[in-house]
Amino acid sequence: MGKLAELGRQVTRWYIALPVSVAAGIALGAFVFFKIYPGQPQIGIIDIPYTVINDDSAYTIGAYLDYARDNDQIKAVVIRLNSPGGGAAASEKLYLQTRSVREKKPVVIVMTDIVASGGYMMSMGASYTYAKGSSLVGSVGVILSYPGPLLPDAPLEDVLVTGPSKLTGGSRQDWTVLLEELKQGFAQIVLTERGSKLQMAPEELMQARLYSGIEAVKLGMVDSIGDDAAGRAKAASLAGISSYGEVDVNIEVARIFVQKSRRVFALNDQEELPAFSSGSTNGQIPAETPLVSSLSDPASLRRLLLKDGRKGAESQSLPGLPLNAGLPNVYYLYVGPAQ
Amino acid sequence: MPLTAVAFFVAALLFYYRGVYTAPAIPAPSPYDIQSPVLEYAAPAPELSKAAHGRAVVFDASHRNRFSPREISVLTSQIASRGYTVQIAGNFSSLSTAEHTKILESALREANSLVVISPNAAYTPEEVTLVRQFVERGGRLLLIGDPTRENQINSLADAFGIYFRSDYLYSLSDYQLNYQYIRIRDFRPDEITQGLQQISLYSASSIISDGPGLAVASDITRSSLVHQPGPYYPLVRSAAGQVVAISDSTFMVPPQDKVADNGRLVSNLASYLTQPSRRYTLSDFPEFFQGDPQVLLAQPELFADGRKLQGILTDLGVVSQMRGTEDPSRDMVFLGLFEDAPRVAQYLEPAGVRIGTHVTTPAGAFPRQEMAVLVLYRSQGRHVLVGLADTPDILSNLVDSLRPNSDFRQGVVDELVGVYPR
Repeated sequence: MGKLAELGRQVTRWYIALPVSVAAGIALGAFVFFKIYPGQPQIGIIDIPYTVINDDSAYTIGAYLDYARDNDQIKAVVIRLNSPGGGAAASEKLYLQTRSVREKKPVVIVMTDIVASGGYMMSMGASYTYAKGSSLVGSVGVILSYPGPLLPDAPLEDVLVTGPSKLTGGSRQDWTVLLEELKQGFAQIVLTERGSKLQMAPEELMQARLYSGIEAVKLGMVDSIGDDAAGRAKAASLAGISSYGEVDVNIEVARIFVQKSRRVFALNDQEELPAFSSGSTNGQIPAETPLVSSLSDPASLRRLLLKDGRKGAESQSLPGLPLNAGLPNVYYLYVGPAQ
Repeated sequence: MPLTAVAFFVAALLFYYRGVYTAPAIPAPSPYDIQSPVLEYAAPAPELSKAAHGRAVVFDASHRNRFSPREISVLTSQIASRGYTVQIAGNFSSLSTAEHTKILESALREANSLVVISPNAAYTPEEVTLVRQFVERGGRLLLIGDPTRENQINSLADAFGIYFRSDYLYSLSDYQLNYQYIRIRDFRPDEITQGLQQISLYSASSIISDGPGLAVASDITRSSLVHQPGPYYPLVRSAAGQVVAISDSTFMVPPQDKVADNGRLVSNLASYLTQPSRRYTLSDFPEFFQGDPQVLLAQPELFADGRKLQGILTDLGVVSQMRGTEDPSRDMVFLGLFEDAPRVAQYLEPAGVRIGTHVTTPAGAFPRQEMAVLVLYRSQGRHVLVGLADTPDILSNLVDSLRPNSDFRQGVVDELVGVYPR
């Protein structure tokens, strides 16, 4: 008893109590700061290697953006982007999603080889953009692969429709008007997002030219020349953070995806999952691909769940109709001179 | 301890978080800010009343031409309304060189005008010569190119000092619906441009010509080849006015024909194609006849030959009437023997033909024994064909040689005279 009382007296002495109290306070503060709120700030890194934006790839990239936006630990986002664009709606979805992330945290896009058309539209949702001097940037415009025939087709004898545009969607003029509206819409996004930074007339922008990164910076289409490190530094600066960590968003989303896949398909825990191939976006999975292997590609999983979706529309007639359902045919895409 | 914890928390916060992110206040683009383009339709040009000429405007379809009859329906209806027939020569498919040359040669005989739209097979030198001769004899030629339809129109256009460049014209600020759909407001006074204030062309190339440019694109219009201001001409006239070239075929396809003054341009082109400017030659038999020609016999003994000739004309699509006396207001075929030559001397002399002890022609003098001649007289739209022979038998042979696919053209020695020794 006496020893215990002596120990109590010693502890309550200031030269012992103070350090212990400070240490405990630091530990408590550190626990609250790092484990409860707000924690060490993170920069989310999204890698988009060369990708033609379509429904599948936009789904995957959209998942990355959602994760980066909703994860409170991620205070800023850096996107490494390499895309010639693609489908119009898919590209616009990514622009809107990027813009949505920007509403909560800064988004810095670092352009690599090419960021054109729909890819450039996506970059308009960012807070700041970097290009390499040798990047290819621009191609602001629209491709409509089916403007309709010069003259309307003769009416069909064996199919009844409820309006003159039911089969075609409209006359050639209607399609041309639609094309012009989409072009203006694209231009408006660029003009609005770039604002006074843009040093070119709308007519020049509508030439749909590709520019080098150097020229794009001079014209105000891109903010600066820089690499990934510059992108991270800029993102940290815009977010007002330092000593940040990094989160590989591709990997995190893949991890969540694979976990969900295991649950959906009740996979055996001992069954080995393949490595996730980040950025795999072409979505073309051979029919004989094993189920487990196919899980490495989100597009293939979606097709398993919706296997008669778009792929069926490409090749099969609808019951009772001699027609194939048409695919979306409006693109914000740079197709290259070979086309 | 709480104080230390708070102090650490604040210190860490200040260390890691040195500012606050504020999202940029950029308004989201609004769909209501986008101006949808609107087509401005104009009333179509009125069609003229019919006047029976019986002449043809030929549309070449023997060179894999890239158009459909439906696409030219506005132009063909305007042509028909002027009393001309429209003939599509060929069936748009691949033909051998010999086949399309034969089709073209045959079609040109009866044509007042020839329209060539986006041929995808080149014209041979022989065909170019045929068309050049056709134009030299007053035939009119309309060349229509289109940069959106691969074509070899320059294989023919070159012969008339016209070259369709492999570009397209565009404007990024003054266009209709699309930057390739340019507006033209600057016209040179001409029958083709009469009454035009503005036309819209739907992907037109520029044309180089040694003749006048009838329409010039505005100075903000660019060529896809050089991206520089012009002047660029999508509509030209060349070869002493006998050849017109336009570098867009879509402007006349409904409903584009109702945009701006496009309908008026189609009407002007139809008028141009249906002016009877063609000078026919003997080789063009029987296409030079207008209306129902009369058949006049010099002697009643030649009646059988007259009936035979009527049958041949009927087989060739020409209705004729046997007459006892000449009606100078109508075309005519005169059949007789050399002794009847004085009755038709006024028709022979302009062609340089005299009948004496010898038959004198531009190709030389021939003994009249066992000879026959064919002479075409033309004046102010009237055509008279005179057939004279040494004997009734030789005249009968001459009439036989006028049958379809026969060889009377082998005896033709110049534009107006044919000589047929036995």
